Amino acid sequence: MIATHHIFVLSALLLSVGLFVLLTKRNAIVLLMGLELILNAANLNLIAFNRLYADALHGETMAVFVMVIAVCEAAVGVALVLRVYRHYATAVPDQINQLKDPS
Amino acid sequence: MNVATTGWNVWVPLALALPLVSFVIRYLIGHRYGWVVPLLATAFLLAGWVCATVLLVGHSHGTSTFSLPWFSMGADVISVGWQLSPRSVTMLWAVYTISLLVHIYSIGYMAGEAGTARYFAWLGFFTFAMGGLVVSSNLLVTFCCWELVGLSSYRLIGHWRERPAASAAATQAFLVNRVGDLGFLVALMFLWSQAGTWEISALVSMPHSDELKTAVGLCLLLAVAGKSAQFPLLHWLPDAMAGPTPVSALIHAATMVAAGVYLFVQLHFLFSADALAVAAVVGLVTVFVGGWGALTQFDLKKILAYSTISQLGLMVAGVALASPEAGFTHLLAHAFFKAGLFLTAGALIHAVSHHGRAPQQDIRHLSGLWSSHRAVVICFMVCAASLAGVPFTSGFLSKEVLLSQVGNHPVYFGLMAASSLLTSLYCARLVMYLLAPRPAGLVTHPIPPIMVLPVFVLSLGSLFIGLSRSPFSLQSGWPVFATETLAPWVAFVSTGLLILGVGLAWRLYRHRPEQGPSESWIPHTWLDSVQKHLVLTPALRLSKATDQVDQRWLDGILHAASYGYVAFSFVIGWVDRVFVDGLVSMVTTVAQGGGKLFRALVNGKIQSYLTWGMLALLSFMVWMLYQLAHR
Repeated sequence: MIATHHIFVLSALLLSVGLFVLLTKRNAIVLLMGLELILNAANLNLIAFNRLYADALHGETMAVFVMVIAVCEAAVGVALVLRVYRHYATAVPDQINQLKDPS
Repeated sequence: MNVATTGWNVWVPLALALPLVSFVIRYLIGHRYGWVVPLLATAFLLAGWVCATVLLVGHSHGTSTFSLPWFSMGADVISVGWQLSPRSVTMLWAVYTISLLVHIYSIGYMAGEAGTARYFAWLGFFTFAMGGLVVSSNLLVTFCCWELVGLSSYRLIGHWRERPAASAAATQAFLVNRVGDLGFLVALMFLWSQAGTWEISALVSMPHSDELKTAVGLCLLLAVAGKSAQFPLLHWLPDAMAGPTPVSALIHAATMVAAGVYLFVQLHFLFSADALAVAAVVGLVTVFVGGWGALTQFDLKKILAYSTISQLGLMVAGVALASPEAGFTHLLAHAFFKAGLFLTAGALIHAVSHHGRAPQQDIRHLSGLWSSHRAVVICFMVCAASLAGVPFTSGFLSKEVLLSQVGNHPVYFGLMAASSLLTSLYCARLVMYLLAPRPAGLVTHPIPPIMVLPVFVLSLGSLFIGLSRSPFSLQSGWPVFATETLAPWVAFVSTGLLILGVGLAWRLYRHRPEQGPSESWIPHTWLDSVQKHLVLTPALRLSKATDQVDQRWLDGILHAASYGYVAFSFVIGWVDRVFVDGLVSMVTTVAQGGGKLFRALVNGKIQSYLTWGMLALLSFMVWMLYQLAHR
């Protein structure tokens, strides 16, 4: 039997991995992937908490909603990355620093 | 108020201004038209002499005073003006006459010399200063003129600047005169504090205490002694012979040394009996020192200088013992015959001196001019006779006055008679040397007529007509001396003394000895050694000591102070650099560091922003959990 707190641990791990990917990877596409992992960690939490209230479906509903938003976000994000790549010929956010002081 | 405006007389400022104009002209045109300055100066002085003559004629009796306020100190007004009396106009006229003759003579004497314009300018200034001294009605103005007389004599004695002896003599004359001027200044202070005025006319009418008169008299005596070369202060006069001979004539006759005696005559009323006694002693000592000095010298000009000293001593003693007018009579007579002696001496020296060589002034080498320059030698002898007091000369008359007035006092009469014996002795000696046969091979020059004319005039003035129309009485002479009386027996005594003196000279100097007494017998030697031991050596020692104190102590203190100051400022500088500057630069460093730190955070990398955001969130959560746990 999988206890609820096991799912919390899995969710925390997922969040950590997602954050790690988000903070360390260079490519914007991979960053988006890290973002997906974080969203999914949140989804896992929503579902796990829903087990406490078995007769309600708020958690699952929310999770489905998050998935939809995530799809939209991925679409917009990939589109942005594509536009950035076209414009700067790179998808590495570190090299896109035109707003920063020169020095 | 001491202002009297009634006695205005246009001739006085005119007489004073004309010589001054010739002084100014030299500075205006002297550098371009130097040759015209002697002629202009003489012309101006002639005009001044005319003014003085007008004054002389106009003031045979009575006194008139004119003064204008000069400056005021509180309620006291110092005025500047003139006081005309028979005495002052006579002196003024004598000064201008001698000065005019000296000017005329100098045209010939200084011809071809460098610096003639300067010479004539200072002659004019000298005359102006002396004229101011003579007529001034205020002692402060008299003092100013007194100083100007000293200044001009300094310039003229040192006229030949390139000769070290001349400049040394000028400096000596100036410095010795300073000693006398000190006396004058102190006397002025006494008078101001006690009488409260410097007006001569006010001082005459005021009663003065005997103490004041003694103090003022002694101070004035010092001034007189400095200016008129009296006993302790007399050695500058023989040294002043380093100047041009006409200047010596002017100094000895009318301007410089006469100023002292004139002051004594003028301010006789400010001398108490004690001060007059001191003056008499000083005068008599001077008579004999000067007379002895004249006997020991062979330098013609120095003999004349010593005889001047001796005669000045006689005048001072005469003013002190007989009466001011008696001394003044001799001053006037002396002015003519001594100027005549100097000018003839200058002419004779000129005749035997050769261009480019030192002037021949030794009487042993001036002999034999009788055959070639008879007129000048006769003039010289006339003036010398007047100096010796031969009857029918002015010197005879003035000496008679002096001797008559001390006739009732055997000691003073004896001393004065001895002095006139001494005078006739050195005059006879001088003439004997001059009349010696002409040495073989003596080359002489003719004397220019312009130099002979003044000599003639002065030897005429040395005869009795210089003082009076009668050779044995002053009644028919200058108005100022009309009251002087002569005792007939004195004439016989002094003629006897004269014959005795000439006889003695004949016995002693008939063979014209080549050697004089040894060096140590000459007054100049003693006076120089006294000056050296009493004044120069202590002064040099004092200056050396002060120099040492200055170098060792004052400079040491100064050095220590400056070292301390440098060290202190070094410390201050260090504190300033390290602390004050450090504080300021710390602020900037901190601000800069902080700026750098925060700028480093904003590095334009989205992931680092995110990292910081996450760290912030994490720390916030840790803090929240901590808060919850310790609720």
